[in-house]
Amino acid sequence: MNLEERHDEQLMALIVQQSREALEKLYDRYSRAVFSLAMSLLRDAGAAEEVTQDVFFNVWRRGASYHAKRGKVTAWLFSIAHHRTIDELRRRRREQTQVQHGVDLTNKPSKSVEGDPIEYANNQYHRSQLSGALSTLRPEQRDVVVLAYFGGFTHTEIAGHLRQPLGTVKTRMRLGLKNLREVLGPQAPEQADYGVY
Amino acid sequence: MECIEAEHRFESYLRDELDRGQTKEVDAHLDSCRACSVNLRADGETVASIAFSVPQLDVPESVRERLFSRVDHDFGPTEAAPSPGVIQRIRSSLGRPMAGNWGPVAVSVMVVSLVLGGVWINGRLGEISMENQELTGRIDWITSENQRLQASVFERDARVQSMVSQTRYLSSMTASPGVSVSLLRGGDLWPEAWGMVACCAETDDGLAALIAVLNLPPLPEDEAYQVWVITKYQHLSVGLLNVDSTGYGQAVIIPGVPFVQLDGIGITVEPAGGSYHPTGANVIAGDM
Repeated sequence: MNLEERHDEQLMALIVQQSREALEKLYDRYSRAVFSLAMSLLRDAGAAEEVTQDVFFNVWRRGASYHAKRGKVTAWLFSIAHHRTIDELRRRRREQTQVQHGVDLTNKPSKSVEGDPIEYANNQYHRSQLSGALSTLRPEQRDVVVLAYFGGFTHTEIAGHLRQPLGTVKTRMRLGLKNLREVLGPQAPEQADYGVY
Repeated sequence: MECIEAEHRFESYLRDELDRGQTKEVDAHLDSCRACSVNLRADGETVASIAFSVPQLDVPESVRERLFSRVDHDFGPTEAAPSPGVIQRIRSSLGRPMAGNWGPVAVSVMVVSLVLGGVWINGRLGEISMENQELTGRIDWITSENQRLQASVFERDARVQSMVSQTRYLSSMTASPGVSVSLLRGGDLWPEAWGMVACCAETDDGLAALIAVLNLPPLPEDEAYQVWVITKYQHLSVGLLNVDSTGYGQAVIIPGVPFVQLDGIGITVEPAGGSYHPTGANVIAGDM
């Protein structure tokens, strides 16, 4: 069986054994999505490229930390990608750096990171195809999901901004993700082409 | 652990951000709670869904090149495969190429060794430099002392030569026929002093006598030994006498009167330059 036909978990097992070819295959499958996720949040091609490179290098070095019982490889991979992207977003926020528009998209560049965080996060998610799905959520759930996934704020920061208990924020996050999942349905190509778990 | 607490940790758990203790707690809960296990997997899929829901963009080829350049130069993963036994770990480490596992360690050890070695060498060089300076100083002092001792030896040598020539002259004079020798004795001031007078020799200036003294201490600059010849009626000065550091002094005296008229000879301590009459203590004297 060649690498093309291997499931993601089989590729991960080979990556743990230092198989460069297996990493290349995983990169070919998901680099576009990782880069696009980073680009949608950072609005900076250079930064998104760095995030993409770091994510897959992290997969190479920490492949052994993936456990099948935690979920699919894509869940683990994109959790790392999202976390890395949010790290970069927070770093820029600390440096009060204005995010530059790096590629030719139809969307307009976002505003500076200064100003109201909800407005900033809203500007981010409005530019994604998720806007329709997110609009189906209850406002309090949407606010938390948008602030976390598009604004890069921690649960504690969200709790402080919304003046809600931390536990309430976490609960709303869970419910919002659950409802969002039901609206979005399966999206990852892996589930269609590489075997459904 | 309750489900609500486990659910609150799902996001961090997915990102492998929990510490070992918290991870074990979540693992244990997931093993026992199917609902949470299903929810965890679903949350992870939601994150993936978000990623695929944004506009999909092509990744520049340079990203791939940079990534695999890092991979090709990487020394190995930061985490070993989960739960290998001790013996298995040892076996697998022995089987792997050195550069894969021990490269970073070896490089780190080498760098640390080089740094420590450089620090030690630098310190030692500093010590050697200080020792060198100290030795140079000591050599300079020894050289200076040597020169001083040589000068002292030359001075003594010259003095000895002078004493030898004087002694020869005195000996030759005393050995000459018709020469009489009179002894001189020290006074109360320096009783150990003594001398002799050898009389007489014919010179262009008249008859001359030779006086030699021993054990007379050198005088300060404002004083001088003065030699007197004593007649029945007066003391006549016949000159000043210098003594060396050993207390030896010698001089040729020409009294200016016939020696048969001399009763005695003596030496006193006078002011520098001498006196018209004896004023100081009589340090040595004798009959003629």
